[in-house]
Amino acid sequence: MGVSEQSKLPSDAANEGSNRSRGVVRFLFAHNAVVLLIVMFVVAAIISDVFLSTGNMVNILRQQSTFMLVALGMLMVMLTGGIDLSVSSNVTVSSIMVAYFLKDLSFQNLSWGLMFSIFMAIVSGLVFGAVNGFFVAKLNMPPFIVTLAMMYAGRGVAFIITDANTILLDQNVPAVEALVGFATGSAPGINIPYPTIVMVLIIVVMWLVMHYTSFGRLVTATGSNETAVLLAGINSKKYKFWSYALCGVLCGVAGVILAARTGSATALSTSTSYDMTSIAAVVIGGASLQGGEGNVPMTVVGVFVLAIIGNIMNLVSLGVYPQLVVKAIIIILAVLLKSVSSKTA
Amino acid sequence: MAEYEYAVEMKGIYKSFEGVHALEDVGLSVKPGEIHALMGENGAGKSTLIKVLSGAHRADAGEVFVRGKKTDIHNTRAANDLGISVIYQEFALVPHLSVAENIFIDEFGSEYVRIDWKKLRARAKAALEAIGFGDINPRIMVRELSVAYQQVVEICKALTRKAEILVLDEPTAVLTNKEVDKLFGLIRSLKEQGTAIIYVSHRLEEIFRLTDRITVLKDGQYVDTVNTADMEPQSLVNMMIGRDLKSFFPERDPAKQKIGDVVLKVENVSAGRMVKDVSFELREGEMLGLSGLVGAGRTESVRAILGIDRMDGGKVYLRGKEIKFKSAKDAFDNGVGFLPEDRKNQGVLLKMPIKYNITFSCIKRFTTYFGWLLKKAENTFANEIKDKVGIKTNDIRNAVSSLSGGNQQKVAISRLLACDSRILILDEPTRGVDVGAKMEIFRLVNDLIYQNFAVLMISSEMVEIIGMCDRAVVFKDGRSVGEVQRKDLTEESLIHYAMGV
Repeated sequence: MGVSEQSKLPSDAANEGSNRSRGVVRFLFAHNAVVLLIVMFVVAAIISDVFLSTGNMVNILRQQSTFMLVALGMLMVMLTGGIDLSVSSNVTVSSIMVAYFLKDLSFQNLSWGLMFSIFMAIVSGLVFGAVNGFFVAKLNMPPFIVTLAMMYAGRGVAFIITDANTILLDQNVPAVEALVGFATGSAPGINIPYPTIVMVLIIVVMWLVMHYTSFGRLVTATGSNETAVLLAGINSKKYKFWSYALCGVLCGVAGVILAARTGSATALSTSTSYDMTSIAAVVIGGASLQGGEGNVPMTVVGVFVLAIIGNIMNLVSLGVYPQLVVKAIIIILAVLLKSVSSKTA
Repeated sequence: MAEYEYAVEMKGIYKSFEGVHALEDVGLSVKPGEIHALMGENGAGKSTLIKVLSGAHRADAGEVFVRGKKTDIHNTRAANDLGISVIYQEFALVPHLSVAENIFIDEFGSEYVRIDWKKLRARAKAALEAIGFGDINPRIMVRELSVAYQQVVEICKALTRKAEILVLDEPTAVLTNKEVDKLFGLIRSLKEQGTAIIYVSHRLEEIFRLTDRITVLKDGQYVDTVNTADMEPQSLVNMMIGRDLKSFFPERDPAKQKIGDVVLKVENVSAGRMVKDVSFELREGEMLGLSGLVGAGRTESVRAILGIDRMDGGKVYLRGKEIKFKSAKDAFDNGVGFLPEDRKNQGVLLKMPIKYNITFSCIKRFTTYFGWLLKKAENTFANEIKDKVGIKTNDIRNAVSSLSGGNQQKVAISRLLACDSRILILDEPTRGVDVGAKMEIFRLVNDLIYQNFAVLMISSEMVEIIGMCDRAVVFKDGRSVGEVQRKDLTEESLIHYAMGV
């Protein structure tokens, strides 16, 4: 033993250079979404002059805030080995809650009405997610089915509350003005949209939660091998439940931003593909559908990969339908790279 | 008609797994129309030999003759084509398909474009009637049948494939007496039709009732083949045991060991089909072994006691107080740590780093308010425990899957130590672990004993029980049937209780 350790040292020193470059290659293979993002960025910059303009950049950041929040929630759920197909419905119901409280319940006339409406929207997101979590964690039902059912339920609720009409907020009311100003305006001096600031804050918080708290650790452990975690004396159900519930909260926040951006809310938003887009982003970021794999920074990368694809295709005015095909190709490519890299490693 | 004497003849079979010899120069010869028992302790190599015959494993060396012709059984398909059928303990039936579909399932791939249901059911009915089980309805789903009838369907399936060589691996393990009688009747009538039957079982009584000849294996080696009529149960047992105790168990220093009060007491526990009446006591500073044949209900008992599975009856006392653990978490919170037998699926988180594996079940020790992780403290602690336990890795951030089996097991044990569980239940702690790592694991267990931990070890290897335990409780058919003190711990005494001889 002692001999082998000694003989290792000189060879290590000699190999350090090549080891390092091999390490870089391995890192890039394992984090192929980063490479993909850089390639996309460069290609986009070459194809279109507009791409690098401040206006376009700010636009991407503003647009992505809602998708980012949903994707982070989805990450948490997928780390446990689950999936949440109901996010679009949840975001929509939450956005409707804001508008409904402000307008239909006339909270817009109260001084604290705006804060209360936002609060209720986030609570609605929490409750929605908690229902998912209850069925999946406590009653051991398959997440795919539970969240599929909740997707329909949410859609129904959205249409019931709005009577299938769009709730249009009166932007002359101070509360609504503040809400819309939040979504469309930028922080004074630095030209960064408020929703983007919220997004960055939440990314940081989520990163801290997933990497520096026992909650994040045990959520990942649960997805990695639930039987082992259970037999080790950990209440894995608790972590599953809260990952769905917190995913719901993030959907709630996304719903508020959505309502603020348009100054309105409509049940038609349920057909926005928050679900598929966020799943795709998380998967591009290297997460496994079996759970236990994936992290916040790579999910952020995944979201921007999809964002830039969408953006550049808009800039070169590619049709909406061809866009879908291109997106599909990129998703398959990213996942293919991952399965290749995990085989070689 | 017979230009061959044996339906199956296996000669000089060698097989090893990762350097461990499972079979060394083993032979087996079975005549047509013979019921041939294959016997041996746990791990003697019976299953491996059967798997070589069925094409599930390839032998490293050796020859197999079927009906006098040398053959190469390279996969299970080839074995089927030669008329070899193996019925394992876990059935290969599809529970959600009907009996008829299960019997003819291998035909669906090629022979049908359209399924003629009427004909299929008629054929199934005929096949079942031919073996005297016409009362099984071919339309019924397999999952609705009793275990015994499922076995009959399995046999029927084998026979419709013209199985001339039928291997039954512990077929009676889950059957009631009445069902066993029925099964034996079927086996005997197959024998009369000239089928060669290889019967793997631990149960002496059945062996003597049913079989014509017996081949005994021990430690992967061939011992002898004898006529059943010439044997007594005791002489058969003597053939199976009596190996030299290799001195690979670390010596325990009696001066450092203090056996104290009873910490865990179990009375008349029953649970499910497998656990009928189990009682034992575990003391502080002691290592207690649970011995018995595979399937005697040891793991199931422990799982019920710890609240992982439902406990139907009986009482559990922890340090003198009656307690009923509601879950593994409950047991764990009360200082009882459990190391499951299936390391890869239940013991460790393969894809996660070693240090996370060590600390995850007591993560609270490394967190402040709001669950904020103290990564530095965690790192230091994990490194300390890694050195103490001797996990061979150069970085505790590596995934557990990068380790050898023995080191993975050390990680799993480290997790128990990290949590300060004073009562440890180790289920087959050395399964799939090489000899060197075994030694290290046992040395570690000795250290724990010196520190007054109470250790309960389930092991199917008698040498381990004899080499390590202060006392052993022997299980047979879901009951704790005997207790053996250290000075009396021998293979004879353990077998005496385990087989009821």
